[in-house]
Amino acid sequence: MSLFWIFSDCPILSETPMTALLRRCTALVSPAFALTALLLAGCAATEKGPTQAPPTEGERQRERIGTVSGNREGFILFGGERPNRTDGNDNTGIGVNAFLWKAALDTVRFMPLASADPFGGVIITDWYSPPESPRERLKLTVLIQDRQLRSDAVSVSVFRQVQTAAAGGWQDAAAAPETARRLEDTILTRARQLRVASAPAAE
Amino acid sequence: MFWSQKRLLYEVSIRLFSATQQGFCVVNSRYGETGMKKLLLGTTAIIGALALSQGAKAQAGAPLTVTLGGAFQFNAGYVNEDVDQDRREYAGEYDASVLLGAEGKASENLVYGVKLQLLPDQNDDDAADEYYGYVSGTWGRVEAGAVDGAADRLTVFAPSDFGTGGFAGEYTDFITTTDTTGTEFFFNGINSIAGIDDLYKAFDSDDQLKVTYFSPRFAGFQVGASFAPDGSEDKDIGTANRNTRLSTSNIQGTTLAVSGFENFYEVGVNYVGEFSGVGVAASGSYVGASAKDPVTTAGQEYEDLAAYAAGLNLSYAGFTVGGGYVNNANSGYESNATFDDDGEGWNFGLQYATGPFIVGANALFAENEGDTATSGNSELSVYSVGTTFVVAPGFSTFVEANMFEYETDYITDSNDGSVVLVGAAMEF
Repeated sequence: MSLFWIFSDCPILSETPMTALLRRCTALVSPAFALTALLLAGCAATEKGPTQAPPTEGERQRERIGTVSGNREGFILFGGERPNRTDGNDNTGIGVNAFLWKAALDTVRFMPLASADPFGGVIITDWYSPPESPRERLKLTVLIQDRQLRSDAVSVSVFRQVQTAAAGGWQDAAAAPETARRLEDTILTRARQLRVASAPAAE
Repeated sequence: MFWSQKRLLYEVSIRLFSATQQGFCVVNSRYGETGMKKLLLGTTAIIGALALSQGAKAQAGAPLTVTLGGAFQFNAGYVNEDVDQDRREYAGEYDASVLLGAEGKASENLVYGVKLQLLPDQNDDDAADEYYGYVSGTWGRVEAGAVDGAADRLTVFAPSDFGTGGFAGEYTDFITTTDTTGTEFFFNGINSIAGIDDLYKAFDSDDQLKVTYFSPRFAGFQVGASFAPDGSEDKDIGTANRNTRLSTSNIQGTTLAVSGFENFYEVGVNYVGEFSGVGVAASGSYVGASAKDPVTTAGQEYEDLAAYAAGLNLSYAGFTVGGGYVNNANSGYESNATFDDDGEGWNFGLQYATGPFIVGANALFAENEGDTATSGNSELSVYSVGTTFVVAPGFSTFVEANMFEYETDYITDSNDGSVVLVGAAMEF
């Protein structure tokens, strides 16, 4: 138990198979069973770290309209950690985990980018033909879905086309599913490295 | 695997390796697909432990964060009411506060701090001040000080994020609530318009000095409990905090004010969850307190406080619909009163939030069947519709229209009318 709490600042690790199951099962519960599930207290968030108090009326307004300082408590006069340097949620306006975002950009940057939306966490590359196989081309869509650095927050889709006999024509072709998985692993590895690099140095 | 994809993975691994130069494993087929993810998790564990032990060493300079925030809200109101007693039809008001906070971090899982809400305007109601200290860990959170308690803060009621909040908003500041003799159109004391909070939340100890425990949120549930020894003041006023006998200032009309009670205990439970994209928020709360002893030994006695509230909100794709019920029973009434039936209130609301816009409508219906000595219904109905536009983070403008109606059988006057509010709020 104590081990669990010790590691609970690490989002990837602290997701035990049980909590992962709980989180996923929310998507499976049909409305008909909602009440039952509610009674069983089955599928809802369980808090980690220090307990958050329910907001007062004033705090509720701050959550509703935000603050000029971008911080719920106001401007940081002094002290304070550099904004969330251990979890990748800095106040840079990126809507998803910053480590995952940077890692994903790093990973696909050898391909031309068609679009990259840091708020939605979507990176779409343009078609890319490796020089060795000009008759094939690939396109990637990377979706980052969470502000937390967790293994299921990144998903990659790979699209592949091969050139048809007709000049300039391309035809959709199957892509090996393994590729997407490996790309996800790569992004996660890179994100982990970024996180380690940004962790506070030992004294 | 197709050649192009192999080439792509190769490119990726080269990038990764040269980007870091730290010798971490790159994509490696030796581990297979699932093996790789397991490895990622495993090594992250080690690194997490490393980072933590480094954090523990850095405890000497435990991070202390001091924050300065503030809030300002301006409301302009246009009032049209039956009984205006020669009052002007328009008026303005503002609310301003400075928020100071300090929080220390003893470890990743234990923080402590203070929060101070300072009101720049000396004439502001003292009850609006909040100042308290807290300790928060994985075991829960303890707060001590002058701040709303568990029943208040865990209560779910009709959506009220638009305008100033509709029935939960500021319209009561603009309307005439008493007849020319000073008698309230609605009730006196508890359940009065002045205490509008108590018509959609259980009558409680406001932000008088108290100790509160909040549990961690587990499986969507959070419970809390508060104890406030006295309803009279929230500052260090010495022995006055120990009075068990009523003074005349504790009595409003024929019922007790908050200050007329002692030994408040408040409990609340609140659930927040999601089922198939439908957000659910539900709450239940109970407040109990003892009425203080009569002013004189043979004087008028009053009923103890026993109030409860329950609420439910459902939200889907930006829409929130919900409502709540409050029952303050005969709390605070003269104990020999002939007519002291339950004071109760219902609230309902619907709102839609999209991008920077929030639009919504809500309504409150409250009633009490009889005064202490006179039979007859007292009823309050409030209907509100409004919208808020968040111009930028921390800056919003809003417009809201309220229709209200008080009716009572036991005094001749009643009042009804409308209030239109336009305003802006800033938070920094």
